[in-house]
Amino acid sequence: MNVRTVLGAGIAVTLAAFGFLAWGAWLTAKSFESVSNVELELQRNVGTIVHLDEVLTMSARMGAATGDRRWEARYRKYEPELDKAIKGAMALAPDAAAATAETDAANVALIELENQSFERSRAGDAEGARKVLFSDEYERQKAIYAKGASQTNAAIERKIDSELIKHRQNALLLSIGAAFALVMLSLGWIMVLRFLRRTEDSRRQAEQEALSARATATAKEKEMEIAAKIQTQILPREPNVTGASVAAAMVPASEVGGDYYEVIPVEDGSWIAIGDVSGHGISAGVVMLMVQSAFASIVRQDPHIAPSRAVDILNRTLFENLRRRLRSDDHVTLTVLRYYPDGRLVWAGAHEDMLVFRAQSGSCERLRTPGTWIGAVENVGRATVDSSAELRPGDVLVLHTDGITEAPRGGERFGMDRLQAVVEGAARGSAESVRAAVVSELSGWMDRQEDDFTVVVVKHGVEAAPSVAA
Amino acid sequence: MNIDLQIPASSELRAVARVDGSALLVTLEGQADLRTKATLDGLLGKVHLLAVERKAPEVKLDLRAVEFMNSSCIKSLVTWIGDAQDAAPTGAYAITLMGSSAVHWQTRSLEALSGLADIVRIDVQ
Repeated sequence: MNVRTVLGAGIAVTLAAFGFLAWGAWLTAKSFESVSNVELELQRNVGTIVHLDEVLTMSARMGAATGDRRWEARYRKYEPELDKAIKGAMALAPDAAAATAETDAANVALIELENQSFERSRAGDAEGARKVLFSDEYERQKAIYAKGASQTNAAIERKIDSELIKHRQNALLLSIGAAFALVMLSLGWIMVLRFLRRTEDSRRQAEQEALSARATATAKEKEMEIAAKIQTQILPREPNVTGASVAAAMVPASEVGGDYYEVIPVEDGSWIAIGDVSGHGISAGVVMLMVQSAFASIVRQDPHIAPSRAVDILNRTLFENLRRRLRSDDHVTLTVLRYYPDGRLVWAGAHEDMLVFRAQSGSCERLRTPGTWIGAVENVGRATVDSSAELRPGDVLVLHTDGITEAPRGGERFGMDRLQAVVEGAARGSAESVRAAVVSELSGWMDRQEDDFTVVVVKHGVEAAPSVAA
Repeated sequence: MNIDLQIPASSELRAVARVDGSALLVTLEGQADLRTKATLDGLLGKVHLLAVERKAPEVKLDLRAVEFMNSSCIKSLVTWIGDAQDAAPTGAYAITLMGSSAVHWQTRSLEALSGLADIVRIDVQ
């Protein structure tokens, strides 16, 4: 529900409520005005009836007493008006019709007697004319007339009172409706205001979160930049290994994964290492630096140290730093190899299986890297053993990280079999051509890079210009 | 009898836990990668608490149906093994990791995991 909809609905309901109340008030006022008009008209009629009755009675009696014909003329002038007033009252107050009808009948009888009086007066019978107008019958009809007028008046008052009560009730209902509408509208607008406040709060919070996310992303980018620098700039430069040509590549993912490799030439061959720090980002870069520094120190100090002993020392150093000092739960998969120019190869430490392309057979062997990982437990001596193999001229040793075998395409992984096929296809060429083939095949195959990938290629018995790419 | 581990359901990684003799057997199935790391961390934490509470002498973790496990999730296993080691002697329990030689990540990782501590042994078929 957006703000515009809520505000629109609130305004529409408010306008509808005010419109309904205004319409109700207008109807009540109009109806009240109508009742007032009827009341005034009725009161005027009743007054006219009483007044004209007196005028006619007086005119008739004066005519009889004086014989002056002007009184009859006056009588004739007002007699239709009285009739009209009585008919008007009957029309305006149908509820008082019975009383008005009695008044009308008495009026007719009185007019009859008064006409008799006028006729006698015109005939010169002044005494007869007077007697008619003062007769018992005349007085009786006058009393009926007066009573009827009074009853009409009372009926009209009752009708008006009833109408007024009805209109008071309507006005009261309208007031209650208005009060109810006011309460509901107030509640409705309180809800609308709360909604607007919540919407505003949410908008501000979203803004804050967006700002915070941008700041985090920027910090993360910076961290990745530093980690990538650590990871790539610490790589060996142009390793010149007696007895072999070496080519290597490491391709970092957007979030650095902690791949590590090292080639340290010594007087009779070379030390080679490959590994992967379990964490990501700058912390993985720092761990990698520790491994690189410690490994270089150990093998430069004693180039003839057994690989298993080197791994054990590395583990103790790393365990002390990671678990005891940094309280980190990272560990490192690491294999270190001692390569001799005569083709002997000795290694220790657990990492990925290694591939050795045999020039004689044209196919690869897989060499296991038994043992355990370093940095996680204090002592790995129990599980760490030296393994060995022999390379013959033209054989190619290929080391890799899991960024190659676990590279994804949809739900599929690149895997060892594909890597082996690529190596077998390119191993007759130079170490550089094997490296290039692996990078090219993998880059073309995977649909996204989730992790760093590293490949180190050592071609035995063929010394060539070293090649390193990152 | 199955045990409800009360972990958030994940379509990528599923777990069933039950009592197997005196041991606690937890069977995992699916893919363990960055998307399911939180689920795996929660699961292993619950398994550890359960094993200590019940004084189970052994926890068997059957990984044969886990087709893929990346390094982040393997790190979760390393942490769990560390927790189990730290629980000794009062809450000590042995860990058996059951794997398959046909699954690449298991052939290279289970042996390395077993080398981390004496309490870990592997059963690869």
